[in-house]
Formats: sequence, structure tokens, C-alpha cells
Amino acid sequence: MAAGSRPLAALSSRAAPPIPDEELVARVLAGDQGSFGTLVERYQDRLVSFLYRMLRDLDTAHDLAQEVFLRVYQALDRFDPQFKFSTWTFRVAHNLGVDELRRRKVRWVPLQRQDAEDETPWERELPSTEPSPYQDLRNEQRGGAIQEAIDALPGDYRELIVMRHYAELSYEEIAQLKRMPLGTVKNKLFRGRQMLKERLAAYLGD
Amino acid sequence: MDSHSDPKLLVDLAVDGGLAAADTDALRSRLAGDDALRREERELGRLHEVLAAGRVAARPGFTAAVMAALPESAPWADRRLLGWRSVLGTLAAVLALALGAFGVAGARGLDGAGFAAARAVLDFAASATLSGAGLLAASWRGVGMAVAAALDLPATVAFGIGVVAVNALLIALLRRPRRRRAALAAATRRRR
Repeated sequence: MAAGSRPLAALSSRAAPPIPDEELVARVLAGDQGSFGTLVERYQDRLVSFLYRMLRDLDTAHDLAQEVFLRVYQALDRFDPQFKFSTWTFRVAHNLGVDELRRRKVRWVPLQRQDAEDETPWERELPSTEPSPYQDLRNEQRGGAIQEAIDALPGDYRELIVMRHYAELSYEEIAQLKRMPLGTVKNKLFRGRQMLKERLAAYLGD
Repeated sequence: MDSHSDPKLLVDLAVDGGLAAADTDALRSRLAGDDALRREERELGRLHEVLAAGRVAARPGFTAAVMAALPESAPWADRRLLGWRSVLGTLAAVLALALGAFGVAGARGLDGAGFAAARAVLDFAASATLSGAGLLAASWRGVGMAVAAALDLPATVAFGIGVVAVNALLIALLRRPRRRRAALAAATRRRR
């Protein structure tokens, strides 16, 4: 499934990657370390974007993305081809991101919000001093509103929205990663986007 | 048309590329006569654009940094070296060396505390081996008795099958890494 925004009238599937991930993995295992560079280039933007949305800190997102690739490389011979390489990689990234949030939670306890008891770690993020990814947008106010709208989503919905729109995972990959039925993924994404649409109605008009 | 009944859900899936081509065609004809659905499609398309604008890219040189941080020798090669064949080979080599040293010492008529200690260790190893062999034989006898009992009592055949299934499962789990590598190679061949 292709990622990103695609008008209904112009639907077209994303071109298949020239070399499948599994073949690149096999090449690396056979001694071609350069093929791992192809995998890194293929996933680096999505991983950094995903981790940035989780952690709101660009430096940490880069550091953790590098850690993800190192861990994946270390365990490459244990890669099970019945799963997708992308799913495996993003599972490692998700786990590292959650660990980082837990670590921060301990360090920043006095600064956390006290009014929401059912918050997941994803909801316990503090505003970062890092440059905003929305600086490139002309309308910073809109960028802030989008960020707030995503942050205000319930944990499950936000997680799926980030996986779909920032990690650019397909519905099937998300279902595998979250061990969730495909129909549930579709429904949760639909509801999450409906919530975003309501909150951002002022920015989505013609 | 997709099994989902909510037309908004269909539009959402279509805009996100999650709707089959045939369903998309059907939805398109439905959109032609429904202003509200067309507006839904426009707003969702805009939402996708806005969300996509929030993506960040890895810094230049990120790939080079990752590649530079990789270990020089492949970690899986080290693991293979530490596999059970290597362990068995090392044990066999140590045993051969010990036996050789023992044989040489015995041939030269050497004696003393060191030699006695080595002899004691070897005696201990021999006893342990004999005990292990005895236990193994007993367990095999036990298996034989269980099989005989199972054949006598059809009700226990199911239990026997269960035991065999558990053993097969354990063997399958032990062989899993090799199968995974074979599957990886097969998947690669298929894609070629």
C-alpha cells in the first residue's frame, strides 16, 4: 500500500523496490555489507520521522535510529523471512522509543502532567526545545494545531496514525506490528483521521 | 464493493490507497452524485498532505554514520563459530589431549600428586559417563515399558501420541534457526 496523500482520482501503487528487502538481507548474510547500506537508505527517513514523532527530539531520534540499525544488523541472522523486514525493524524502533520514553518519565517526573491518569507513555511527552518539523511550513500556527491535534488523540489512535503517516507502514504491516486484526487497523485509522479532521477543520477547507 | 458499509470509511480507505481497484471504481461513480462524500474526499486528501508535511528526513551522512558504526566482523559469523559443532570439537580436542597426556605419563611411569589428581579426574569423568549411560539405558527401558503399556491399553495411545508430538515440537524448535535460513534462501531464490 502506498504511503502518504493520494487523491482518489490519481490512485496508483508505489513502485516496487528494485531489490526486495529479503534479498538484501541474504546478501548481507553472505558477506556483502554494502547491501545493508541500501537497507539503511531505504528506511532511514521513515525511522527518523517515526522516532521523532514519538520522542519530539531530533537528535535522540537520529541516535535511536542508528541504534535500531545496529541492533538489526547484530541480529540479522535471526531475521525470520515469514515476517517483513520493515515490520521487524519498526518493532525494534518502537521498543527502543518506548524504553526512551520510560527513561525520560523517570527523569522528568516532577514536570509531568498530573491530570490524566490513563495516559500512555506516548502522551507523556514534554515540549522539546528542538527545531520543529513544521518550521518548513509557512503557517506555523497550523503546524502547531496539527501537532496538538495528533497529541490529543487517544493513545491507540495516535500510535496508528504515526505508524501510518510517519513510519509510512502499510495497513498489513501495522496489523502485524501491533498484532491487531486488519479490520481493526482500518477502523482505528479511519476514526483517528476523523478526529483529526474535526479538530483541524479550520485548516482543511478549500 | 468492500464489505465496509460506511461510505466515509470507503472514502478514507480509497484516499489512503487501501481500497481495491474495483471498489475504487464503484466508489468513484458514487462520489459523482454525492457532494458530501466529495467534500469528505477533498478534506481527507488535504489532511494527508498536511500530515505528510510533518515528516522529517534523516540528516545528510546518516547512512555513512551507521555503516561506520557497524562491527568489522559479522556478528553472526562469531555465533556460528560458537555453535554446537565447535563446542563438541573443542571438547573432543581437550579430551584427546588429556588422554594423550595421561597415556604418555603412564608409559613413562610418572607418578606423583599431579598424576594422581589427573587420574582421579579421569576416573571421575569415566564414572560420570558410565552413570549417564546407565541412566540413558534406564530411560530407554522406561520408554520401552511405556510403549508396551500403551499398546496394551488403547486409552493411553493418545497419551503416547501426545508425548511424541511434544518431542517433535521440541525438535522442530531446536531446528528452527536452520529452517529460517533455508526459508530466507528460498524466498530470495523465488524473488530472483
